[in-house]
Amino acid sequence: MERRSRPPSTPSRWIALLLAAAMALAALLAWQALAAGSSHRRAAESVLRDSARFAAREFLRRSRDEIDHYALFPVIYVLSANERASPGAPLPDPEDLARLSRRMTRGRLLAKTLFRVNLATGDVSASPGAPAEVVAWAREKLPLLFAERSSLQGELRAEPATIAGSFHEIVYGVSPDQEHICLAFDIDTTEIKPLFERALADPLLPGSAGGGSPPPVSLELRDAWGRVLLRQGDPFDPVYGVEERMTSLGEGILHGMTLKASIPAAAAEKLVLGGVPSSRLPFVLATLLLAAGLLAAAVVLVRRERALAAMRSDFVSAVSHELRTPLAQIRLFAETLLLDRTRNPEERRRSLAIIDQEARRLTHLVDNTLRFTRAEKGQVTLAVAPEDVVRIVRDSVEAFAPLAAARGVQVRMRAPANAVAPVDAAALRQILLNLLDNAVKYGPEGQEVVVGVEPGEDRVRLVVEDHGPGIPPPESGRIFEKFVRLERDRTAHSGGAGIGLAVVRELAQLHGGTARVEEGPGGGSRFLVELPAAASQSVISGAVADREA
Amino acid sequence: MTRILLIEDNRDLAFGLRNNLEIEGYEVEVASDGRSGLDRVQKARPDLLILDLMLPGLDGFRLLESLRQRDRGVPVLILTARGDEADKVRGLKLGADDYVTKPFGVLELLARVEALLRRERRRSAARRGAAPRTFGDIEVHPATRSVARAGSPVELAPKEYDLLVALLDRGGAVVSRLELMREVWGYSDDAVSRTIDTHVAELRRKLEADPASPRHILTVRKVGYRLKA
Repeated sequence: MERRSRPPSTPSRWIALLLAAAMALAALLAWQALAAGSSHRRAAESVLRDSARFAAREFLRRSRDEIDHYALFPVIYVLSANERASPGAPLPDPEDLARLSRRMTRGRLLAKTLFRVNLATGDVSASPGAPAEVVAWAREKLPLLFAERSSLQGELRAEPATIAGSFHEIVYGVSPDQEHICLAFDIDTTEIKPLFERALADPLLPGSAGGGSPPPVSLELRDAWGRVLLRQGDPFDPVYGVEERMTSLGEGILHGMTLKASIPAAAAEKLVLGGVPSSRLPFVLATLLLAAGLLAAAVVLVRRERALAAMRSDFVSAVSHELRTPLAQIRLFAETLLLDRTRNPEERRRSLAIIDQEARRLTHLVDNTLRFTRAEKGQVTLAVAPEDVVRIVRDSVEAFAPLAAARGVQVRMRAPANAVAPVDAAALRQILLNLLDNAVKYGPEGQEVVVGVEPGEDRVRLVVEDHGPGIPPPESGRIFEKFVRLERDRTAHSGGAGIGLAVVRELAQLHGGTARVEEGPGGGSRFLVELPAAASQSVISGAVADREA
Repeated sequence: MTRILLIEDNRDLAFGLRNNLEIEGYEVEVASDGRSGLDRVQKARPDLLILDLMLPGLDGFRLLESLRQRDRGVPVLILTARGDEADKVRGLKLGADDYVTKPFGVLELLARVEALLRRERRRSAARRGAAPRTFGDIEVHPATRSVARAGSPVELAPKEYDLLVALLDRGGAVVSRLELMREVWGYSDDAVSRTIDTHVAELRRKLEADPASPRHILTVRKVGYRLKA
């Protein structure tokens, strides 16, 4: 009872499965890590943006206070005090007014031109020396601006105006004492720059919980005309920052200005635990690639192992087939003779000849298999000595004659008288027998097989040409590999275990030579084995050592 | 005579098998590849087919498959070096009647061949049943093992009756002395083939109108006998 053993590839299949599972897990982890990383990142960015917004508002609040306190209200107070003292008198020069009320203004008013609008009469007057176009603008626009004066109680507003190509910030408000009198003045925003810097005297953000220094804030403030009023810290980074555009009239002097505020990424760790996470994508990708590479390697290994296992099992059945065929004949004819079941001397003679021939075939097959298994274990050693290659080839062809004759094959020799080369005689015989056996086995009956010896300068070439179907070019490189057989021969009658040519190549290479196949002259195959004519030092010394041992 | 077709591409093996089968008195034809083998089975209609599996052209399995599709009832013995259980199962399922692996004992192979042929003859005899069979003015009644000539009973010894049926079973084909020995007496030996001749002479005396120039039980020189209706 025969039972097929389990294919040995099962463990490797498990390995492949495990690796695939690991790959899937790695992909899942990678995805999770990416998701977690990006949400962490988003959270951190949002914290930073919120901090920037907070800092921006704080800065604006302080700036407004500073400017109101030091720049705007002094003008209005002094102006309204003057108005109260002499109502309706012409407006004084701002320099004179500053000198008059030194305590409030420290001797200088930031206003360049003063205006007064009498809402009752619609009369607009300006301080002396005012540019005509500014006065004209004031006469046209100020009454309109004051039209909604009821909402202006105690509040100063500002209107950026471009008048005849120059920039004017017109600040206006209702006189605290006389409701029908509105006061206004023209101010140059670049002159209030120091006040913005004063707003930064204290840090805009609180220090971190651990008591560290407060995080720096990058700021960039521009007035309505895009002129930079203040710039501090690193360049603005929109990822960690906000842009505040002051569009409402309620912003006072800041109306029309733009503030960009951001927290430098380097300062993130002061605000967010662990800072802004760096991207894990490269690591994740590398891990995935590594896992994919391992999986691919495992798949390749499993495939190779399977192919080898399949070839090995083919080999075992092919060898057993190869052994059975000659054994069947030996037994058949031996029994025929023993039972005296022959009818004439010719039958008897032929029976004996077949037994002899098949016994030789078996010997050759066993030699080949042994040589092959030894080569598999790396145990083949050659006894190389200078020999006449032609004589060895002739002996081999003669020894092969009965097998050739059985298929009506003519073996013709094409060789010089002699050709001496350092070879292992037994190995050379085996090379030739294998090539001849193939030529006869795969070629047609009655063909001619040519065996040639061609001595060259540094190589001796053995040639075996047959008239068989030839080797398809794509397979000509593979046929020297162990267990490899042509597809057309796997199912066909001709035996073969796929080791003959592997042995040929192994033996040729042990000599320091090569074995290959090309298309023969008659469409068949032409096998070429080239052996060195002069042995390399190592081979000779190895051989000497072998013989001495 | 029983004809055996041997489909085997190994010439030496075919040579040895043919000799051994011929010694047993069979007529042997050899085909050396699958296609010509299939062609010969259909044209020559052998009594038994010995089939190798690894064949050039058309392998044995496919040959057997297409043979059985055409419903040829010829017994098939597969003789192959392929000894895997799977191959045996496949061969038998495809319609082979026996499976012998190489290397084989020659006597065993011959015994199996004989057994297959015997089974086949028994089967065809069973198909014919126990109905009376006639040739010329002779009637044979298998049910009662009795024979009548022109309506009146003829007394036959048991071996004479078996010999007559053996000839009758072949439907007019030649039967060698060896085959008759094996079938009727159960053994084969050249030395005793005279026994057959004696029994044949007795049958002729009892059944033929003129035993000296028989019209039904004919001698085929150097081979054996055949029955002519």
